[in-house]
Amino acid sequence: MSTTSSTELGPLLARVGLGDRGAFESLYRHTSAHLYALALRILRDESLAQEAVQDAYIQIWQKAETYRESRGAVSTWLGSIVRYRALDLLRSRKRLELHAEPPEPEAVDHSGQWAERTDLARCWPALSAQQQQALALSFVAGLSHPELAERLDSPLGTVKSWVRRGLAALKQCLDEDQP
Amino acid sequence: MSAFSQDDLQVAEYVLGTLDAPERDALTARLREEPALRAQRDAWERRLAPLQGLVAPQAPPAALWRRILQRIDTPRPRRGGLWGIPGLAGALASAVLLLAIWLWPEPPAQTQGEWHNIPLAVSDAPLWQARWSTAEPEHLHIEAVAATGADAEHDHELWLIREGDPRPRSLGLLPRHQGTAKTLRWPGPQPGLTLAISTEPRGGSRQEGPSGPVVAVLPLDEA
Repeated sequence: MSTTSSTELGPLLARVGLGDRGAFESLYRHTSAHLYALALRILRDESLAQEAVQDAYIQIWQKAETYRESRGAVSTWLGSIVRYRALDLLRSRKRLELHAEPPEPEAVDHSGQWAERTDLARCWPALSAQQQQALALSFVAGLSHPELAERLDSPLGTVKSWVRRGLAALKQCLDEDQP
Repeated sequence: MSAFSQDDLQVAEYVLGTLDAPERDALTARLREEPALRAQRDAWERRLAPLQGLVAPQAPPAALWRRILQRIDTPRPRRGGLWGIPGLAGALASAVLLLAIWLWPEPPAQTQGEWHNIPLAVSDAPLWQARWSTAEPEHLHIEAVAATGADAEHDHELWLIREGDPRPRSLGLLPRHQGTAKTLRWPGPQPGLTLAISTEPRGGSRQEGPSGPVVAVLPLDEA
């Protein structure tokens, strides 16, 4: 998806909303590698990740016409759909006590190159290293508070505080520049 | 530090992914009902979206696209995929919903327009009277005309299913006690709409769709 801007995805999604199969295939071609990677990092299971992506694209096919710019860029909307589906699958697996091994923290890229030229990248340095790690791990890998505490080898209350304070700092920084 | 309400924190953690299953389910239910909360969710999705870039793209297997194509090529069940709801087909085998839509002789309220009446019944027993007016078709007035049969631990929840969309959308809980009424918002009578009633824990389903047995189904355009 990184090579396709939301400017290009918008018209594609609009055509998908009209039932254009060719546009749907094109949208899939442009976005599936990114959405599959998001699902795979959360679920750590190829079969489940494929299930999440399949469900997400069916939802996109059926709901494309409901997309509104208030949901953010098209890529944001698509990413949210697949992430929420993956999180639902992950949590339901954990209800059945079948969850997989937590991810290795080094699998997350903290270099900052991922978000060049975004407002979030500008605000990211305002967070402590622990806050950055907690937010990145939970967003990318879908880790709950107890899992974060275990992964980061820190008390649960401390981890919750990192998450809460990190989110608050981000909000403050990002909202400062709002018109 | 800017204002950061408990709701805002919950929504932020919903988007982030830290909530456990019960917290996530509870917030999902609230998001269905609360536009202000959805706006907060949208804002957090926009704020955190660049974190998606932490993950390097990875192509899925080619077979995945073929499976997706098969899914969208499969003729949809005539009533919007309702049969895809787990346990629904079995539940329907023992449930019958009577349907009749006719001109309501007298408006039950002061609203002008032509009134239409939709009896909602479970197992042949009419329990609620749903009414809508051509003057305000987006309002569905529901009155409990008999004891609902829901015990102290359960409610009945009304769902709307659109043709082509397998996921029911909650319209709200049905009134519990005979003689009580409420008004629900719905899109008005349209082709391909189906109403369904499920039995849920008190307060309604904790998940996105029905969690309890579906006890009645009402395809509107069969009338």
